[in-house]
Amino acid sequence: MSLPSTRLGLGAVEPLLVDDNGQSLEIITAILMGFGINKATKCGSAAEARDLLSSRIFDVVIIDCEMPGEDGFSLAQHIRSNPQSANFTVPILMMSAVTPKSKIEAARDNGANFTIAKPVSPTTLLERMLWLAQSNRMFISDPGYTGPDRRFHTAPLQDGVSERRDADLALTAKPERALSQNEIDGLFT
Amino acid sequence: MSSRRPPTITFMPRNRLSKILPTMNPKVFAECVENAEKEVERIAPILGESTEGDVQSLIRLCHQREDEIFGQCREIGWLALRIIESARLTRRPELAEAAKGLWEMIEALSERGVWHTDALRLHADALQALTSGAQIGADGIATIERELLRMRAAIGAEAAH
Repeated sequence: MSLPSTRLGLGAVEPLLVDDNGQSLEIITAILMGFGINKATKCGSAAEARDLLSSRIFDVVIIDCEMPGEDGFSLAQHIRSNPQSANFTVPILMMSAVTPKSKIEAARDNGANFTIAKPVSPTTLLERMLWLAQSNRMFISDPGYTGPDRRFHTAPLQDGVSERRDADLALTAKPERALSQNEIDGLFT
Repeated sequence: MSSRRPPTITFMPRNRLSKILPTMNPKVFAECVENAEKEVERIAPILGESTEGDVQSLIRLCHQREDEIFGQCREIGWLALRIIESARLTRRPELAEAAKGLWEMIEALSERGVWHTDALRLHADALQALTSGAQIGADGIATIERELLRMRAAIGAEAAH
């Protein structure tokens, strides 16, 4: 059995999970344990998370968008607000059970790296973590926006590839509907 | 533009997740996902047990006096959100959809001031019907979802975030 050696890299990851829903925390923890990540720190509110973030360094922060009191968007903004903090540039993955376009944009504009639709699928979560690990993305710090650089290299469409415009128009035609994971990702790129 | 505005700073941050790369390949990826799915399968039934209790709590909240419902609307919203998540987890999309309707109505209140007690109660009744054990077929479920959606649209409480 090769699991102990192959999972060594993930085993070293120290995530912070923030969700008021205890069940959701259990699910994410179970998924991370399946990945071999046993050092997950869990908390049930943004206030608890603020305390932890001020005293410890995390490799990734996974935050629920909707929480009573201070919500996940505000917490993401807090993380991106202090350049002196050790977690200032930490990758932020937001989760949401409801995914209208406005919420995805709010997560993005508050400095999140990705948003994941709930219930979180192991494949989606690991893909995003792997993408974050592989990406050499610049970080922007500006009074108007602080977070990962959203500019990507643009290349012309290949022959035979249809214009994206139609799909974009379809996406914005009914902004209140829940977006698919692919559409969510599209708003981050 | 004022010269006192702080400058824009662009830099390459330290990537603390890059440590997972040396051990990650397609085989390991598949193993990790498989292990995670097993972990979720193991605990999902336990977590799903709370769904029925949450639905009953939500129904009780929605059948209080109108002023009490209004006063506890945020609690109703959070409970609806929890049902959405647990119902999806236990593969009960019809429950998740009805609970999502309730969440949208609470969002409509907080964002646009839209409030309609009877419509809220009707969503709770739909949840009750869906958890009552009555055999509601796929056509019946589709009708419930369609009519709830139509009602939310009619009163201006459909999701418009």
